[in-house]
Amino acid sequence: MAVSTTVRFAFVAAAAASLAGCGINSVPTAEENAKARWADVQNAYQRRADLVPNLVETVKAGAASETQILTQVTQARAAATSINITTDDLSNPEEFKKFQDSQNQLTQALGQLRTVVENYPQLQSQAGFRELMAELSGTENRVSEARRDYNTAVQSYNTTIRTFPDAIGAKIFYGAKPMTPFAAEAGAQTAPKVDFGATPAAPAAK
Amino acid sequence: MRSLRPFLLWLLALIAFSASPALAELPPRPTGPIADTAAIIPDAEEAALDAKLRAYNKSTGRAIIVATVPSLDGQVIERYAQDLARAWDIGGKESQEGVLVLVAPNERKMRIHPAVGAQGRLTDGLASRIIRENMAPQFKAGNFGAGINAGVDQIIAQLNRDEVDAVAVAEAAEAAKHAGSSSGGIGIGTVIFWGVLVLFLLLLFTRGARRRAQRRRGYGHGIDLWDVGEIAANVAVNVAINSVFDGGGGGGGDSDGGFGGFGGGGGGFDGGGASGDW
Repeated sequence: MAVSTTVRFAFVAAAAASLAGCGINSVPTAEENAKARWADVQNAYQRRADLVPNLVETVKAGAASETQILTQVTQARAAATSINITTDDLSNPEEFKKFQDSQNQLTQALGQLRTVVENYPQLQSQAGFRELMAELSGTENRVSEARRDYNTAVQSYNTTIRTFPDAIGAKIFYGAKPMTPFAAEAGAQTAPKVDFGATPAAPAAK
Repeated sequence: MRSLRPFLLWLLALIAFSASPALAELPPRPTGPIADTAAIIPDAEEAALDAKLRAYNKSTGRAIIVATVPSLDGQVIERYAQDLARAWDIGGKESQEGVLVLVAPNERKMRIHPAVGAQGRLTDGLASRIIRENMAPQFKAGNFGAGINAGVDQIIAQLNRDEVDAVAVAEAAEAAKHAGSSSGGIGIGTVIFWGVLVLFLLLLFTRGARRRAQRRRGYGHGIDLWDVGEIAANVAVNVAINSVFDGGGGGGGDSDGGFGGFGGGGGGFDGGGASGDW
């Protein structure tokens, strides 16, 4: 039965093509990519958290009177490192927001610290301190690049699972849920507000 | 058939819209280690630096690329450097030892932007110190060539603190071989794979069709289907062969005169490094 063989071949080829076309491969690929970018984000944040104790010690030695901002930074770091989210939480906007908020808080506290230490020329002239600050700047930039790459990957994943034809496979085989991207860079890129006179009154109250 | 037309139009529109948006205007990738698009490095110094960086890349596989740009397009230098380092595909994919030195004289900004493979030795702090102590003083005096040269010397001294990575050398040699050829496009393997697949399917289909046609209505009428299949198969083979030769032809000179700092797959630029001004 040559006819049925040909038909069968055509059918198998068509089935394979349509399976490949409806997200069997593209959905996990996009998902793994987004997760890998998420790992980069966590690494960058971890790197920053590791830097903070050193920085606090150095500032304490040179600007002992700035206890308030130092406490604020230490608390923000503790809060930020206490929130750990798994890759499953990436589809959970509330958990994700908690993580993002705590990290943003540390970003802001560090920004204030940066402003405060401008007033200490003897600190600025220390080579060790300057290099720490350079490490901090580099690491903040790593964070922002990692967040950017993650957002791109998430956008691509979310688009994949919501558009035809990949949406079929995403729904039927994977039950894929969209991931949460970072919201617009709150305080990460904007320069910290300088408030001479009144000392910042509300630490970590959010 | 007419009912299909709106659908096809819609599909066409979808394809058009899904094309990736244009990136910010970046200077094209140079053929050597220096892209002085802002024209601030004197020619003699540029030639000497070029020779130094080529030799360094050849012997160690480490890619130090110097770029000067007339404008950052309104971006912060950190972003611009990141986009440029990725677009130019600096350094090897495995070793990730590329370093981009970016100078924007009109914004009075500079940046040393190393990939992760180089960051262990060229830390952010050290990069910042090189900018502050070696480059900025010269830039202030208007000696861009001397400042960049001093910075590059310091970067090389830092990178030399580790032994030469054989992987990096091999990657650079490989990249040098392909330098100048238009990379991108489809790999030869892919072309062959699809060529063979199409051929196989077409043969399968036409054989079956031919036999069927013969059996059902005699020999004469089966021919047109067979011919169509044969022509299609020929076309597929030709396309496959042509693209293989096109792909191979681009490589051209495998004399190792090429510069191996680009096209090794790049990667490893995570945003680390240091910026400064003068």
